[in-house]
Amino acid sequence: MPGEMNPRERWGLLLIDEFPDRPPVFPLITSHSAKIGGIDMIKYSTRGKLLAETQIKAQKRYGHDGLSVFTDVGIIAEAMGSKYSIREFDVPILEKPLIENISQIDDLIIPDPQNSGRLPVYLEAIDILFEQKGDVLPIFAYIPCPFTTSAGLRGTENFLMDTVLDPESAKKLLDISLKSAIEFCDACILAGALPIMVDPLASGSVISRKTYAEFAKPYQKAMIDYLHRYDLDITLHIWGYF
Amino acid sequence: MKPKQIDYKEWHRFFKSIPDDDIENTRYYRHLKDAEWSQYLFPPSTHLIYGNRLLRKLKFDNSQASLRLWGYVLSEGERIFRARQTNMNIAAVMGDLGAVPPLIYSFKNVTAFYPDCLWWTPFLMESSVLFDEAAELGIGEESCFVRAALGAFSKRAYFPKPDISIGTVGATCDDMAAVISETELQGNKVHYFEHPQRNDFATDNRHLIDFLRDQYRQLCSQLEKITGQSFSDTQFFDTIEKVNVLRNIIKDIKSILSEASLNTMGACEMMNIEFSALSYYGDLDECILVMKNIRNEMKKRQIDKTGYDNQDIRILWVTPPADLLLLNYIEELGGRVVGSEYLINQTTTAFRTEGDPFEILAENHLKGSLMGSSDFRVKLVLDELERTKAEGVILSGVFGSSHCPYETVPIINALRRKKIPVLAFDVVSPGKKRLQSQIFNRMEAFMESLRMRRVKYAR
Repeated sequence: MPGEMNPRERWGLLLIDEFPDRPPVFPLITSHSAKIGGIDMIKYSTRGKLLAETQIKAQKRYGHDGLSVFTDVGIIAEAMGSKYSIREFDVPILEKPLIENISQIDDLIIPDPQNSGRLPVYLEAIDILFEQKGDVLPIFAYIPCPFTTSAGLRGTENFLMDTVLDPESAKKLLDISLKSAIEFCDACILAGALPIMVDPLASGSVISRKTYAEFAKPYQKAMIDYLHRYDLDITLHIWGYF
Repeated sequence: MKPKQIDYKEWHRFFKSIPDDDIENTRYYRHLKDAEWSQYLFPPSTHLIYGNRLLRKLKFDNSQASLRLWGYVLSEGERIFRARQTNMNIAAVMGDLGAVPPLIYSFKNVTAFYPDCLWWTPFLMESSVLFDEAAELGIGEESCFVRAALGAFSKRAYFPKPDISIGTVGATCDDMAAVISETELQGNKVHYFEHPQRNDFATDNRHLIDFLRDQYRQLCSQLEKITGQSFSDTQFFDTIEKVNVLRNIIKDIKSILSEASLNTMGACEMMNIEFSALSYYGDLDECILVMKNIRNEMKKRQIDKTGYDNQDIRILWVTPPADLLLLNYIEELGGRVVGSEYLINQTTTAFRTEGDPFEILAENHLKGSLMGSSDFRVKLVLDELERTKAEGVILSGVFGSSHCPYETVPIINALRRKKIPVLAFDVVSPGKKRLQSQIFNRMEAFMESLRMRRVKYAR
C-alpha cells in the first residue's frame, strides 16, 4: 500500500526521535522460529543457514519488525572452551564449564568469531539475513555480556562464589569475557547486525544490587560505551534465568 | 599514513584510533549548543548496519578527512529531520536549481535539500523499495532513477514534509518534472520555477536573465512568507560569500586531483565533494569545514607526492553514476578519475558579489548543464577533457532519462573527432547482477584497450 513504511524505515525514524506510521513491533521470536521452520533445535543452534531461513519464515508469518539471531547465552563461553549440551527440543545448556581452577583464567584466549565454536553460526545467519532482507528488516544479534559469559566459563555457582571469595580472579575473568564480547560484537556489526546485549545472570533474581554494581554494571557499561562510540543504538536485555 | 583505499572493515578497526575529542567535536548545526545528536564522525560500518548495504562493497579513502566527509554525507537524512525538530524551515529543491539554495540560505533558520539526490538511495541500500513505491504511484522503470524521490515523498521516512518544495518546469528534465507533478498529487505543495530554454545565442542573454530574475523575485516572496522574514541584501551577500568560498574550494580540489602526480582522492569521495555544492548537505557552514579538511589533505598529498598506487589511466567521467560501485571498479582496474561533467555546471562558478541579487542568481542559473542545447554540454565535456588531459571517457547514462538519448551520441562523436576513446553504457538498477557484470566486462575491455593504446603511441 503506498505510504506504508517497512520495518527498516520504522526503526530508522524511531532512532532519530521521529514518529513512524506505527511503532515497530519486535517480540523476541528466537528459537521459536525453529518450530515455524520445522527443524529441531540442534540444527537451529548449529547451522546458520537454517537459523536464517527459519527467521525469515517466522517473520513472514507474524510480520514483526525485526529479525533475531540468537541461539543461547553460552555462545561466547562455549567458543572459549566450555562444553554445552546441544539438545533436540530445547536451547543449548551448560554441561561442563571450562574453568575448574582459578589459575586456568590466565590461559584463556579471545575466541576468533570466524572460527571458534558456534560463533560462525551467528555470522553465517547474519550474512544471509542481511543479504536477503537487510534493506527492509533490521537484524539484531544477541550478544551475552561479560557477567553471563563468565558464569558460563566458571559455572554459575562457582562464579558467584568467586565474586565473594576471590573478587580479583572474578574480575580477571570478566575482563577477558569483555574483550571476547567486544570482538564478537565487532564481527556481528561487520556482518550487518546491531548487537542486543543480553545478561540474564546479572538480573535481580540472581544477584544483589551490590554484586551487580561491582561485577556486572561496569562491564555492561564498557560494552555500551564501546558501541556508543560508533553511534550505535544499544538495547540491554536482562531476563529469566540461565 | 600512506594514502590508500580501504574497505569498511578496515575503517571499523581504524576508527578505534580516532581521538575521542575529534569525535566529540565534529558536529553539524554548531549553533545548537546542546544537540548531542549532532556528531557525525563515524565509520561506514555504522551506516551499514542501518541499511546502507552497498557500503560493504565500496572502498574508501583512508584519511580522517575522508571519514569526516562520508560521515557528513551519510548523515544528511537525519540532519534534515533534526532541522525540523529544532524548528528550522525546510525547503526541498527539485530539478536543476543550483542557484536557488544560496537564496534559501540567505534566510535565517532555513535549510535546503535535494530530493533528486535520493536516486542514490536504492543503490546505497541495494533495494528496490523506493522504486517499487514510485511504480505503485504510476512512475515505473520507463523513468529515470530520480523516481526514487517520489517513493521517498510517499513514504515520509526519508525526509520530513518540506515547508516549501521548489520544482522546475519548462526546459528541465522530463522525468523530474513528472516526479514533481506526482508529488503535488500526493499533497506536497510545489512552487514552480520556470526554466527558460537557453538557446545559447548571446543576443538572447538579456531576455533570459530578465525572465529568471522575475522567477527569483517570485520565489523570494514565497520564502519571505514561509519564514516570516524580509529578504536582506546583507544576509544575501554574506551567504553568497560563503557559497563562493565553498565553490572555490571544490575548484581547488578538482585542480589538485587532476594535477597531482598520483591520485590523491577516490572517485566516490570526489563525487560526494562535487555534489556538496548543490545544497551543502543541509549545513553550509559545516560543509565548508568538511571541504577545507579534504582540500588540506589532498594538498598535503600533492606536495608529498603521495597517492594511490596502480591508478594511472586518466579517465574523465560524464554523467554521475547512481551506482557508486562503478567508480570503485574503474579504480580497481587502474583508472584514475581526473575529471567529470556531472550535470551540475550551475554549481561550479563563483557568484558576482555586487549588484542586483536576483540578477546575480539569474546569471549563475544560466550556466546549467541541462537547460540548453546538447552542444553546450558537449563543450563542457571537451573543456574538461582539455583541462584534465584524460586518456579515455566513460559516459554512464541513465535508462529512461530524457536527456541522455539526445546527448550521448553528440558527446561520443565530438570525443571521437578528438581521437579520445569513449565507453558509454546505461547504469542498471540495483539487484540486476547479470546486467551489471556485463558492464564490468565492458569496463575491463575498455581499460585494456586504453593500456594497449598507450603502448601503441609510445612506439
